[in-house]
Amino acid sequence: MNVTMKRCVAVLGILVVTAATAGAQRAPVGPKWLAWTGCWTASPPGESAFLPAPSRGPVVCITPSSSGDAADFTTIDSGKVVSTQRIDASGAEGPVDASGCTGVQRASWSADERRIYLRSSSTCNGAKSTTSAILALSATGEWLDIHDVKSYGSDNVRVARYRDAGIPAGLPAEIASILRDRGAAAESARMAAGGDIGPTAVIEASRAADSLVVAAWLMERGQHFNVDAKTLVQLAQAGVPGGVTDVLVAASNPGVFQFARAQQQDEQNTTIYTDAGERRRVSAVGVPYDPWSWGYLGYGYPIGYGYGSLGYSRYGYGSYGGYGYGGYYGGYVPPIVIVTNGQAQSRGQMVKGRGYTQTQGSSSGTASERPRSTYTPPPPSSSSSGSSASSGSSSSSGSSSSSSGSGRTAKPRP
Amino acid sequence: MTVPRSFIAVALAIAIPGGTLSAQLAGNGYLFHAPYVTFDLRGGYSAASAGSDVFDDVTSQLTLNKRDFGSLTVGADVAFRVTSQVDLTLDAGYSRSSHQSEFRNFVDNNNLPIEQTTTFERIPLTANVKVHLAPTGRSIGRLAWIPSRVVPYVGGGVGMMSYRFRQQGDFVDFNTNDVFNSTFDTQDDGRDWAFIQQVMAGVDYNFSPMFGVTLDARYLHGRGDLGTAFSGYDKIDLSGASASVGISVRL
Repeated sequence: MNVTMKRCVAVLGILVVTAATAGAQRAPVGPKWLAWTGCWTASPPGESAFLPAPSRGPVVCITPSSSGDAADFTTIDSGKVVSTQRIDASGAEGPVDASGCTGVQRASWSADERRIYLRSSSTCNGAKSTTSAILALSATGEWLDIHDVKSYGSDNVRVARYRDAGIPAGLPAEIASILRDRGAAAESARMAAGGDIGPTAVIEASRAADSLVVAAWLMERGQHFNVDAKTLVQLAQAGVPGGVTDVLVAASNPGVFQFARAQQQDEQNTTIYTDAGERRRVSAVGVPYDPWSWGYLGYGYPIGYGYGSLGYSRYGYGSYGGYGYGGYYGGYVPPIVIVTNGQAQSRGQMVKGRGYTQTQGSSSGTASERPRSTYTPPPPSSSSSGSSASSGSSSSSGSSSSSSGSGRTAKPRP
Repeated sequence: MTVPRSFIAVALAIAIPGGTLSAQLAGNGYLFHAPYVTFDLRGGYSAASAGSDVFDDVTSQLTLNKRDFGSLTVGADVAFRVTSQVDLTLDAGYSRSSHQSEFRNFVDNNNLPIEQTTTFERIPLTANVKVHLAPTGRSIGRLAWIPSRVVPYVGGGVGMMSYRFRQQGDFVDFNTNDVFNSTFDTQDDGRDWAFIQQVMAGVDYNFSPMFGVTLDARYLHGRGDLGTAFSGYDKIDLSGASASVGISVRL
């Protein structure tokens, strides 16, 4: 499909979404796996979902089965099938399909067939764990894969984002054939599936998945909500946990709150700089997609205010650990804290040799933020412009300028 | 009594529609947290019991009635949330009556009335416990607090009152019948503070997450020394009931 055709389909999809957003819980968006069918590649934060797929690297291809409820998740790298996992979202409970493990797992569709909820409970080599996950699509057509693995009382939530990888070269013929046959309807279904959600979907998700997963899903959607007090009461009465309504409140008041991604440390304690500012690099090992674990190229974060650990792994379950990519794959540490915008805008740093720099509060709202108990936000800073001007003292040319989010710029003194 | 300018500035900043402070504190029908503090500004009428003998004498000799010692009152309090239904409040009020009178029974040698002005001023400062008879609001998660629409309350407290009973003008010397000009003032010798107690009841009507209307009734009890200007009298009765309506702001 050429670029022009893709854009037309995308516009059509957006129109479909716009027309359909009136209802909180909408009708199914077509054949159940239609929106998901395709090959997907890891998508770093801030990177457009419409960027062309990388020419190399692993992909996860989703192809529906004949039953309608099930689909195969095939991890492919360099034309080789690394693994295949089947998700049967019929809602039927089945045994854990992994050597050395016992337990049950269950996948089910949401009522509007736009999301898949996963739950499993297993014991692998004596280690008990439970998994809760939501597989959903974003408004930009990205696949959001959010897992919470709980073991020994510790929650570890990980999020992976994927974007469409087209039909990569070297794809197995049977998969390539399915993808070529999906047609434009798949694009429309994908856009519709990623459309805005309402309270009904939140209530349903809160019943089907752990609250940490639902909260992460709402954060990652990037949807602007406008919940009022009445809706909050309805949600609370429906049993939606406070951690979930907090996310809705924050997303409803972007002038007050923003989601900031957390600093984390890997074993090397290295630091990377991205477009969003300083961020701790999180070491990650790519694994074949495993719906009952953290997911392919997922990057972990302890969403639960300080609990969870990056070192946690599940033993002998699935094919985890058998396929190492290593390195930084554009993964990221998803948001775990809610901070006030004013506070975020005023964060700055003076770095020897570099002068002043903003470390938080860029317009993307993804700057790193030190974890804290931010639900009692301190008063906004009195000034957000103080850290926005370049000192110029450390610049070799003496003429560099930086801009703040407000559009204020600095220039050399004449 | 003057309302602190800083308080007015804060209140105005909050009250301005679309004000940034309001937007920073409240969402669509909820605050982002349970209120830490509530400010209340109120105005109403404060009646004076005027039950002590000094009032008896004044009202018998001068053209004054006991209700003349009542007056408009203004007050302000700041309430600190202790529990979801209990506040600790610091309360200040101000009421002042000032009436001209003449001797009921005497005129001067030119048949002119013998006139004077009597002022009764009370400034209670109290610390109170305010118990809400219904939940003041409901927290949903940690980022939303929805106030209840109507919340009755009762409360009580203790404190001190600065008071002043002052008569200025022409008086009759009953020993000589001379008319003389003078001032009688409880504050002449600095005895102008008294211990007081008060009880209160009222209802808060919350029409927005941050703002509400308060209907308040309270009874204050206290007696204070009159000082040397009023010799031989019992302590002056500072008691009285008041009713007021106010605007409350939650932060």
